[in-house]
Amino acid sequence: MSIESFYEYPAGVALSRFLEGLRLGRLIASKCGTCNHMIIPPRAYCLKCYRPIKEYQTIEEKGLIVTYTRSFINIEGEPVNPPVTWVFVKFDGVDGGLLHILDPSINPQTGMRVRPVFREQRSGSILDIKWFTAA
Amino acid sequence: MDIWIAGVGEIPCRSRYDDMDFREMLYRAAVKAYFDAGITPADVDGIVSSGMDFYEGMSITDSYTPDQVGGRLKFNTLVSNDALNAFIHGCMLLRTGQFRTILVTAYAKASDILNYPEIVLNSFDPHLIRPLTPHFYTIAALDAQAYLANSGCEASDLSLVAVKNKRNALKNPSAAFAEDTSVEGVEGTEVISEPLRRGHVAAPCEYAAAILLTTERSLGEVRVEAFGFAAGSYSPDFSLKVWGQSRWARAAANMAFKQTRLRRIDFVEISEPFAHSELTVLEALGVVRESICKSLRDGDFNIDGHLPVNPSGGCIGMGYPLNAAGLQRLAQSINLLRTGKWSSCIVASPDGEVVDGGAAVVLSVGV
Repeated sequence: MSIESFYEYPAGVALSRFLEGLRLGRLIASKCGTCNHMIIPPRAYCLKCYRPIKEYQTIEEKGLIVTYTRSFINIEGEPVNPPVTWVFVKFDGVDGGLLHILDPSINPQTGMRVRPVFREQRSGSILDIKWFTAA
Repeated sequence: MDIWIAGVGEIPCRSRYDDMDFREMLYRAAVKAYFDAGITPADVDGIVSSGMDFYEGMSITDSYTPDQVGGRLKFNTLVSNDALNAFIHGCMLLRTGQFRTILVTAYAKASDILNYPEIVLNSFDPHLIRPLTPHFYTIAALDAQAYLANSGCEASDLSLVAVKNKRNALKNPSAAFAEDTSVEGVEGTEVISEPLRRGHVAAPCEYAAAILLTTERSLGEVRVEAFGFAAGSYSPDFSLKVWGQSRWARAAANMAFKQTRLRRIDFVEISEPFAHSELTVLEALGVVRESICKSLRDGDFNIDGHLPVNPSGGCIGMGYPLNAAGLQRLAQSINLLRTGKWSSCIVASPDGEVVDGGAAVVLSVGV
């Protein structure tokens, strides 16, 4: 017998702001009104001073590649060809960052400036970003 | 209150045990531990089991645990994350003074899990990571790339780690993946996700171990000097991860070293799901003064080097038994200390392949 499990996860206040931002083609971070700490994806509380967050800001979408890999496997572990380049991107003046894939025409380098490419049809999902490309 | 290792039992790592289920595997390991200690289940006050319901696909797996390890009608608890965490919980139970002898158990039956990468994917953020469907090898590769970029190590150094561990495993009868290989041999394996090759990844294995802890001095020769546990900067969306570092290991080691006056560490055992994991944890433990890359290339971490690292063969040489990796490392460490060649070690084990959290334990004998 096989039992399927079904779950539905509310995104919460802060992440809902982020996902709504993606739907609008923007990157949204949270900003602490007490210590000014900014983080993406946004949090409902400040990780530095533990105060509640009430402010969310659109940030400059250009970021830089912290690390990258060209991956030759998919989630099942099966070979993929061409390989998919994965990147972790940080943004100036903002803590945190985003994991996503890179435009396959770009040769990745640590420290390379990149920007998100948004899809035309967006639904409020991390997949609203098609990929990051050279800025 | 001093805590001693009274007995150790394990069944060898194998790619797959077709002839036993996990309860039978645990039974065999527990019988060996009791025999090793010279005591019976009647002498044990409680059981701490390491288990991940999420992996096993069974809810409340501690209800499956007591029978086969001699724990019926006794204190029994299940501790998630790596088995080193269960071991630490066993130590803390003894320190309450309410228990004299505790059995800690762990097992891995990787072949029961038909879609392990997808199970691991479910541990990541459901909104930000799961829709992207990265294989956890890909996440590990991001970490490996960052480590190489920041440390000055090269991809071939990852192969050096793999060669060292596979060769060390040749002397370990419990190892499943021992091999007299070479850097060229590892470099010839397929690239999975740059810079990681197949040869840099510890293959999953099946395994069971049981370790008897006691406060009774007459029952043990290996002493638990200290332990520590810490979660690092992990978040399930990776946004706070410090890539290329195992920050948990520094915090866990600091916690442990505060509990002991022991300053000389003779060897290190690290659960390394990937070759770079050994290097990032080793760096964070703070037991190597020189450059990790230079020491590795100079052979300092070889079994006859200044500070042997994974002389047992590690997970790359023995096989990676999922959450049982910590107890696998501990069992090997106890056996190595009993040879009389060494008198102290530190054991470190992360809470999973790409998790920035884990535990460290310091053991000694005759000091």
